[in-house]
Amino acid sequence: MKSLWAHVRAALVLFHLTMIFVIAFPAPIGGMDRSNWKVASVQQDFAAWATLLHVSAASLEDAIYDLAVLYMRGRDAVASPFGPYLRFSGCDQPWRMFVAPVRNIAKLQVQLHVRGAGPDTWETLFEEASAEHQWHKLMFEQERLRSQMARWWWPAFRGVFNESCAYFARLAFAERVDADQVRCRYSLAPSLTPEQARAGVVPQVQYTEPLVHARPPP
Amino acid sequence: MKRVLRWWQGWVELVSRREDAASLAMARIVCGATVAVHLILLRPTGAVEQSWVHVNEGGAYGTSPALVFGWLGWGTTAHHVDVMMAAAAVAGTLMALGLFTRVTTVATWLLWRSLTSTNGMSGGSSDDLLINALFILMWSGCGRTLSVDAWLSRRRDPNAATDAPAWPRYVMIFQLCTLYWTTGIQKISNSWWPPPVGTADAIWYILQQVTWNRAPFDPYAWAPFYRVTQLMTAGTWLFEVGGLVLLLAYWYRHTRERPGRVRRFFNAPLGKRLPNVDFRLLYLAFGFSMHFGIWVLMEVGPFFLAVLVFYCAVLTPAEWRAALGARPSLPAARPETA
Repeated sequence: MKSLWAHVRAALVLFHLTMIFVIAFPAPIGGMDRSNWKVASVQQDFAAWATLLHVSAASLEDAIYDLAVLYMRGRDAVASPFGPYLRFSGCDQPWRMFVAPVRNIAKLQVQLHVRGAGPDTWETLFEEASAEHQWHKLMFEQERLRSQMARWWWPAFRGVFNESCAYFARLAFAERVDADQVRCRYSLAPSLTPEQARAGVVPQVQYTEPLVHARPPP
Repeated sequence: MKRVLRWWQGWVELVSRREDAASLAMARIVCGATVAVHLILLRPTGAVEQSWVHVNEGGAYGTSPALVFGWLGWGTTAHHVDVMMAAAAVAGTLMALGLFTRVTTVATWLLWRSLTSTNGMSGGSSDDLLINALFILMWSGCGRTLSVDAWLSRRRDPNAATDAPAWPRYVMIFQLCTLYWTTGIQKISNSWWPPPVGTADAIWYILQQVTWNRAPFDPYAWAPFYRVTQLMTAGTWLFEVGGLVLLLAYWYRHTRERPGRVRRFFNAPLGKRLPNVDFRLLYLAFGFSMHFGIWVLMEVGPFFLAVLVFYCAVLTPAEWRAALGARPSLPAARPETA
């Protein structure tokens, strides 16, 4: 019986290791939304590889997408037998960390509009990396918020950004009786190349389309 | 067929080994303490309400009542989330102390999973890394030493065993290699690749992302040190892509009596002056420096501590005993080679 258990244990450990390897094996999980591929910094990566491979960036992007679709089909087939065990153990393997650097400096802004103020008069409550606008600083500095803030400005996450903006609006309305609207947006500036930093170039800031939430009627 | 059977027999023997539980105990202490401290520090920030509480209960999202929440028929209300967090913090603390170790490790795994599964948006790799560690630790004998349980059982029986199966430690080593290797080969941007293929400027750009910075990064002040960031980028990429080399180092360590220059190098890369420092320890030292550097410069949650759980397992029980200045009460069942 002891000998049989040794074999069963060896098989179970081997199954676990195989699962880890298969699930961890590189795959573009979460990266198949092509709207995210159109972001400037992703396009810069395509352009860099296209130059190196002497092909056009557009054809390289299409080829990679087709390959990725095919690959994901194959991966799903190989990974599916491990699905029940993966769900039981929770041993997911999402090791896609800092796959490519973003070449934008994106800063979240939460702003408030006071009842009766001009339509373009907004008071900044919170701005990332600002020493001045530190509304609910502890919350925004917590890494669970940071992991969301790093994603909200990507096109595919607009919906969840809106849900969170509504949450910030509810917080602000509860704290400020004079507020009638809250808006959330990102300031986007191109990251500086080392040459630009040496030359003292100041990047031009643009703003994303704001999400606006009005105080609900009483 | 004979070769397969021989291989299988070798595998069964490897997985059946037992050893002093010191490495697993250290992994348990770091893992339980990480969960408990993280939850205690998280509670007063306001991030819990935003991340885990349901939108109808004052949160931001339609969070799902996963696992224990569901089994108890609880929703992700502020009160229920608080109760779960408190229970997980207590379970993590008891696990670190090694009191009712098996039960508290299973409880920590379940409660941590339940909390972090409520909202996939608000987590990171550290959540998953801790789940991976907890799942292995709960099957191991990590409470057999350096624990209240071990102290109590030694009071009853001075000869109580302090050994445990070695396979959980081997699985954790494999998990660490997989973590590094797969995160390395997924860094497909040419910003990670060293010249001439790439530009090795990934860390230069990552440091400009304000979201992850612990303190503001001033590119104008750092511009003269751009080459340093390139070295950091190339070092990080090579270290991660080389994750499987750590497995090779273990193989050479396992077969150290065989001949070969490469094997000799892996087992004593610094030569005769430091014969006990093998490639594995140098790899770990580099990894520790890298994670410490990330921790100093960036706020990425408890990732540093989650990785250290696995580093605890990479060190052999004898190394831990030497570091702790103590000897095991019982010798390992087999000589440690991994």
